[in-house]
Amino acid sequence: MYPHERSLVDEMKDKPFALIGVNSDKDIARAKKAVADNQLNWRSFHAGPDGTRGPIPKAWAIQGWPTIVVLDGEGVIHYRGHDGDAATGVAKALVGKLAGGGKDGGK
Amino acid sequence: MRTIPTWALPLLLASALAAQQRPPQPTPKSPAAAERYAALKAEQKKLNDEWMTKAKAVMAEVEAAKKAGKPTPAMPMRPDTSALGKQALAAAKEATDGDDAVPFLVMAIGADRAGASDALSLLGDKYADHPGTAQIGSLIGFLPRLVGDDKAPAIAEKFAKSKNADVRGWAMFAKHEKTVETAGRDTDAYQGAKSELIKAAELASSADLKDRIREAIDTREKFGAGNVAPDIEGADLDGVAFKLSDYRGKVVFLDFWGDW
Repeated sequence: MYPHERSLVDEMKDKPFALIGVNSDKDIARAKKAVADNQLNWRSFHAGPDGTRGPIPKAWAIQGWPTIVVLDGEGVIHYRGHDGDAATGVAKALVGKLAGGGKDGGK
Repeated sequence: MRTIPTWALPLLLASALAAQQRPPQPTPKSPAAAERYAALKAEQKKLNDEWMTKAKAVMAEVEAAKKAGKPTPAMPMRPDTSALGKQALAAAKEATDGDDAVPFLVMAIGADRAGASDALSLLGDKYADHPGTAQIGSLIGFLPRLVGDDKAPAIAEKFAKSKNADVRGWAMFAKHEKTVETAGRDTDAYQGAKSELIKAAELASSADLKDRIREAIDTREKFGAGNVAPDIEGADLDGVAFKLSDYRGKVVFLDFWGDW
C-alpha cells in the first residue's frame, strides 16, 4: 500500500488534493518509524493509545484496516471502502471536476 | 513445511494476544468436567505460548536479515491444536447438560477447524438456548464456510429461534448484515432489516453485538456516499493540532492505516 499512496501524493502535488492518514497504531513511535522507514509523504492524525479502538476510528465506525474514505471539497463522502484503486479513481475524478472549472490547462 | 507470509505474522500475534486479553470464558460446572476443561486449556495455552515465543524470535531475525539485505527466514506455523479440539468435542458429547458441554464446544470450534462443523451442529441441535452459545455468535455469519452450504441454513435457523436474546441477535445480524451494507436505503428490505436489528440490539445484553449492529447501521447512514463527513480534530504524529476541515476546498483521500 505505501508505494501506491506515496506516488499518488507525488502525482497530485499541484492539485486540490490531500491524502490524510488516521494512524491507528497504539504506539506512536511505531507510526513514526513507519513514516521514516518508508518515507511516507502525508500527514496523519494519531488515533491515540487505544489504536484501532481509539476515538477517531470509533466515531467513524471503522471495522477494517485499511479503510479509505474519499471526500469532495465540501466534505461530502463519495467513497468508503477497502479498495485503494477504486478510491483513487473516485478521488482523481473529483479532482478533475474541481480543477476542470478553473481550466488553465496545466502541463 | 507449511509457512505463513512475513506480513501476516504481526497480525496473528496481535490476534493471539487479543484472545488472551478477552474476558475469561465460562467453564463447566461439574467438577470432573471442569478439571478436564482446565487441563485442555492449559495444554492450549502452552502450545500458544511456545509458538509466540518462537514467532517473536523469528520476527527479530527477519528484521535483522532485512537490514543486512539477506534472505528472510521462514515463519513458524501456528500451533496445531486439532488434537485438543477433538478431545474437547469428545468431552462435549459425553457431557449431560449445556453448562458442561458448551464451554467444550466453544473450545473445539476455536481449536480444530476440521471438527468445527460437528461442534457447531451439536451447538445448534442441543444447546441453541444456552447463554454460552452466544460466545460463538459472530461466527453464525460464516456458517456456510464452516459447516458447508447444505447444513448451514438449518443450523442458522436453530440459532435464530434460540430462547437466548444474544444468540438470536447474532443470528439476526448474520441474516441482515449484507442488506444493511448494500440494499437501497429507501427500500423496504433495508428498512425492515434495520428495524429488526435495532430491536435485536435493544434486547441483547452482549456489548459486542450491540456495537456491531450500531456500527453496521452508522457505516451506512452516516458514512455512505452523499453524507457530509464529521470533522476530525486531533494532532498529527508530531503532536501538532489540526483538523480535517482545514482541508476544505480540496479532495481528501482519508486513509485509516496502521503499520502492523
